Amino acid sequence: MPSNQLIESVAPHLIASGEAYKTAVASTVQQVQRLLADHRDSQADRNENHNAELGALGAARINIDKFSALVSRDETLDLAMLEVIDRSLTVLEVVENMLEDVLQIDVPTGTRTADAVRDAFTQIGLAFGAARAVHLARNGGHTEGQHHDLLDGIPFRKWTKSERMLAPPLLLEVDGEDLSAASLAEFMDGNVKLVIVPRTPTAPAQLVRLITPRTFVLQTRDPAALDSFANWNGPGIAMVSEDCARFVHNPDGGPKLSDRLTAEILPANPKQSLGGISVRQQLEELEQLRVLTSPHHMPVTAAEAEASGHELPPDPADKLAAWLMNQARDISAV
Amino acid sequence: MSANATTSATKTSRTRAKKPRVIKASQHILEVVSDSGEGAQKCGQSFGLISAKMGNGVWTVEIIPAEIQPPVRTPGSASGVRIRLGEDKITNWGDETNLVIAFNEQVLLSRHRLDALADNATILIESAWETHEDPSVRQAWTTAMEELSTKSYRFINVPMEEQTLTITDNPRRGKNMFALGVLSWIYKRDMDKVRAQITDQFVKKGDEVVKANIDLVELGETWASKNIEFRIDVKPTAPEQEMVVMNGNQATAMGAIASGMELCSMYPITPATSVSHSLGDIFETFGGIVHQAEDEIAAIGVAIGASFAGNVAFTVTSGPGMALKTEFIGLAVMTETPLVIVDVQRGGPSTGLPTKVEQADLLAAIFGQPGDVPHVVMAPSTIEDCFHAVITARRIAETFRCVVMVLTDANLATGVQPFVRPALDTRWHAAPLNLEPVGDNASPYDWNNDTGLSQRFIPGQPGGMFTATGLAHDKNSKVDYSPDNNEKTMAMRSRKIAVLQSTLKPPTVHGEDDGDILVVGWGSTKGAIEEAVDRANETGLRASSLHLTFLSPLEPGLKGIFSRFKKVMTVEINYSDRVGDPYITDESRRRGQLSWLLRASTLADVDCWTRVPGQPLRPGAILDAIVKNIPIGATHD
Repeated sequence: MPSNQLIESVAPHLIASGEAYKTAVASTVQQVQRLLADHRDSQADRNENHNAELGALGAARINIDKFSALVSRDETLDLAMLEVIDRSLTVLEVVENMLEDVLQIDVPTGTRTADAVRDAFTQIGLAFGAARAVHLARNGGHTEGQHHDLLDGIPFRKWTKSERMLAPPLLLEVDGEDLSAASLAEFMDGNVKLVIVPRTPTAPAQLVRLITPRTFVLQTRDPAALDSFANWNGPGIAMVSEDCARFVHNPDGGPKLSDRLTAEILPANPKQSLGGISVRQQLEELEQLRVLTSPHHMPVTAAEAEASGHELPPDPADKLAAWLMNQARDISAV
Repeated sequence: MSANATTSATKTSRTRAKKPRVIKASQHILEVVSDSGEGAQKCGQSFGLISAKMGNGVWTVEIIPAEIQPPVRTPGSASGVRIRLGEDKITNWGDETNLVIAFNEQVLLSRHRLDALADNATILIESAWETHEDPSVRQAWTTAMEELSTKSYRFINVPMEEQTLTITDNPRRGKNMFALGVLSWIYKRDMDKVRAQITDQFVKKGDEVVKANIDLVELGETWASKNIEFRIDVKPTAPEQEMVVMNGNQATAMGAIASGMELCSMYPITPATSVSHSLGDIFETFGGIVHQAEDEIAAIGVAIGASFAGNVAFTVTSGPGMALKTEFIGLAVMTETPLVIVDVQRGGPSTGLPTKVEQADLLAAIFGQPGDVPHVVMAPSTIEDCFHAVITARRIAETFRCVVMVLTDANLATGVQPFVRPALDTRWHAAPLNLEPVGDNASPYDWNNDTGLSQRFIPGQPGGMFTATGLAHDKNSKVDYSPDNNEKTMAMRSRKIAVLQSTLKPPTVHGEDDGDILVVGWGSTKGAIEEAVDRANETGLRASSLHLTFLSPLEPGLKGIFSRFKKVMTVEINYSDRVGDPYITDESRRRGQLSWLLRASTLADVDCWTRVPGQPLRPGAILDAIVKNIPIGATHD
């Protein structure tokens, strides 16, 4: 199936997970508009807003001039701060208007995927930077010297925990040779969701390098698995491809890796390098997937271990005793 | 009315071949009444919704038995709906019912004994009981018919069970839809809308159930078209604006969502519970939570806590629940935590009349808390008002850091009325909280000496941490029992209510600005009072009315308005001693609750006419009261 058809089949699954960011941007725009209105509107405009806030029942029974005089803010912002807030609002409105349901990126040939993601997140971070600038300006804490770059977008590495939870999903169409999954590990945080659709062949089990207990990782075309991925409240990465290995690592599966990870298809061993990824590296990734999904990888009971000659995992009491012994040695050294 | 006449009417109807007679009416009142559990309420509410969607004015009132499972075929088992249908807007349930469809003679008897039916009402009644195999049932039928014959009712036997059995094995679960079909034919309802309503109502139960119910409705329609000799034409008027149809509790729930409420913390209590049911379906979609607490006290405690933490919270209850919440209401007032409390009033005292209407919480709402607890009390008077009241209440609660009680009642809670779809406005969510760091010298109760207002601190706001306490405290929230501090803090909390009062507009008089009698009401009686006043004016009496939304503080200018009328009289659904009853003197008389309030605050001689029938007041009864109470020698136009 051509990559554009794959994208069309995947995009609807991601819409819901982009709602949080869209809603946050929209409500921030409204709040900042209100903030500016409070400071700039004429008394008549303020009255109209306060009238609306009271609802139809209140507005019919409350003298809005008197009410408005009570609730109008008595603090003022200086012109410089208003200017910062105004510029921030412009940035927020631009971000709001450019938002699609799912942010789709057609990564140019020769561009590393991680760079494309980084750029996209910096654009997304425009909204976070603008929101921070407004906050600082309201508090009178904004200085051009320290904060001039906030409106240029905040790179992902500087996003806060809350901002990372608001990250919208990215749908990236890439050349298979430009994809290096390991370089995407830095983005696996918060609620980041990356979906990779390779245009050309790529290393068949790349994403296996990104499996960690709380990261949703899948190479699949199964709509149900994609829905689970989209609904997962945490970081995740998906590759949607015809030719690659098919597996799903769903953190909701349970505490054991064997409950979380299932592999459907393991393709034949690759015979040629792709981009910078050698045949050996590709084989390593496939082997890693085999190992992780093999029964041998599962935690074993003591009886099973004895029967199979496996070394038992250390008993917690033994570990504690060993640690205490170490401490004792340290103390004696003092 | 005799059994012979019943048979004769049936015979006539079953042999009808000519075109039915069409009775044109600007409005009509009908009732569907059955044993509890037979679905008359579903039938009636569906009929009301269909009619509203067609463009008729509608007001419905539920007929609810006092017990959960009363014995069947007894007057106490009567359950159903009264629907007042009009060409134009309908504001109350009217006086007497013109047409009834009754599933047995005992439930009909209940309505007859309450004088709910017009003398010449048309009664469609299940005919199976007349010839029932059990002689005691036949005897009960005969006895009931004798009692009913004291009026000139026109009976039409309807073989509901016989007909329903052609489709379903259990007629108790099918008669209501058959009845809906009969009514739909009589009132010329749009059958596509009827089918759509049934589909909407049963869609969750699957296609088979939807089809069975539509079949029953169509069976009823076909039967009526062959056997009923008249149709009633209450022309719908296509509305100019988009309308919505809901009951008062649904409107309260929708208003809560529209106003940006984030938490509804409640404990189930009739008739308030369905507010939380309405919210439960959709509140989460809008970021809200319904919290069902372990009891009434916990419910308000959670709401206060959420509000203290910066969320927008409200609690919903009814009279007995309000009593339990009393101590925490004091805490919210003392800590100046914004809070909206919706009290869906029911008949009291104690558990009283759980399913029936009363306006008897007014004084308890305003004055029922130990200590001085200044707060706001307001009352919506229509179902549409229930929606908007929550928005207003939220804004006032946050502006004044105060408790706002919204008093609705069982009449509004369960009544259904169409109204113009509100144009949603994000400004209803009010300004976002100001979470800027507070200044070094800022205090959580830094009262403005003129207004009593102070900035609200939210936990987590930089520099805004303080210990909240229900003990007397100073502006820093430190416990302070000193006389001067206590005087000042009492004044500050009270001042806010006076400041709100200073922003209120004087109420509008319905009718002439002066005259012989002014009827003053509050809450759900508005439609009935205004209709009564209009009728009084049509007879040449000089009557006007005034309906109050704000009850604490009272709307301004009342004394001046009262002075322009020879007599001022409240009309309320709560108890008052009647003049002339044993031991009742002008000194000993206990008056209607609004009457007490107005007398105290205006020093005007405000009389009252109140009733506690457990049902809404009828405009005709209010008109009688106006006529009887108009000052002797009053001028007539």
